Amino acid sequence: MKIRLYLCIMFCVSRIYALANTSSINSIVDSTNVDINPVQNEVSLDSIVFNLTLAVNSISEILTGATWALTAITVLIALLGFLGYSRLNKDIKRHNEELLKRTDVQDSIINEYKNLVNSLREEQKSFIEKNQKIINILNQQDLYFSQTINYLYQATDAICNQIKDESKSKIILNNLYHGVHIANLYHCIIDEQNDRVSDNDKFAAFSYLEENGTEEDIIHLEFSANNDPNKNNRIRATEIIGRIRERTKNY
Amino acid sequence: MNKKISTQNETDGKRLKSNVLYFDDESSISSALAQNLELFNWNVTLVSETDILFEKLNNDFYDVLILDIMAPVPKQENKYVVFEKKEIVEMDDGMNTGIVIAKKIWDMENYQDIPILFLSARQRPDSINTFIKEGKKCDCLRKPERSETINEIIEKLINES
Repeated sequence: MKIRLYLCIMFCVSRIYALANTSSINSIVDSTNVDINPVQNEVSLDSIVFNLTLAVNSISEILTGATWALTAITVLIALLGFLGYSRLNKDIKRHNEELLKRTDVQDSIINEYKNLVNSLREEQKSFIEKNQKIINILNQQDLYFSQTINYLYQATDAICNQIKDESKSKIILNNLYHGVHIANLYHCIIDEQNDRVSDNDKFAAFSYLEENGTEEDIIHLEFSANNDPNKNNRIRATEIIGRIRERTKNY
Repeated sequence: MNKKISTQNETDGKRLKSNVLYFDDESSISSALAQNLELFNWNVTLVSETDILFEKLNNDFYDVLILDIMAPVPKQENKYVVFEKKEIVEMDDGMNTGIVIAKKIWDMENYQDIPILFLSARQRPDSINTFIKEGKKCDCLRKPERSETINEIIEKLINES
């Protein structure tokens, strides 16, 4: 590019120089012709021709000077252009280097973030795995818990049937029934399949506690009001706490 | 539908198995109670959803019904869907969805005279006395109740019919 521009300028300069030389030679030839001719012509005509020749010569000299000046200006402009181009080229190179440096910095920042995201993903994955294990344990625990309550109620009921004093057996059953409802508040089956069963038990527990709940039960209801995964259950628990407080206050 | 004849007759001192349909949402206690009632020679079918309840009533025949008064019935636009997800009923009896379900069952052609034992964790609702006055065979027990007492009430209800 640089060489091409240099050659172009050199060609322009040589062309202008050639043109200038051609025009000055022509002028000299013309003036020489004028100088030879007066020998064959009349005196008056000679002086006119001489004057004209002088004028033409001076014009030709002026023209030659202008051509040289033009050439010099062109060379100067070309030189300035070349110098400007070199400077511009240097600037561009410097900018490119800076940009490359910045790109490197950006790349390193991006890589840092990528590493951070990857480590967070790994952390999240292990967290989910741990959570899933806890959920599985809780679900399994819940199933055994429900089953145990079932056996306990079954056994207690069978024993109560053997007790002759019905009022005594009623007290035992009532206590167990109360405890079962409290325990059902802590049902935590999370998978979709068993969620309904868990919620049904809670529905029954809330219905029972609404009427039979005591001040001692409030602590369990508060746990439901704050921690139950189902929003409706949290609202219901809060409502029942209010009702129990109102009822016990009236007494 | 195969309508069976009630089998509450005494044979050699031992009652034949009668079909009892028990509708309760409270899984832990209802299944324990159902198993204990089996010991009293009842053939107990336990259901916890209204859809399955009506499906069972349509496909089989039952001699007696045990209904939880406060069954969790699905809601649509704050109204209860009590009959095969088609009929939406506005409750006029508080949360006593079991009462509405009982009315629907007594409206069914094959179950107009079916005895129903209601179980409730609350006070006995007034509707029960109204039903008895209307000649329906029903009773209400407050939960929890010994399976022996429940057995006696079921027998009484079947003998009345």
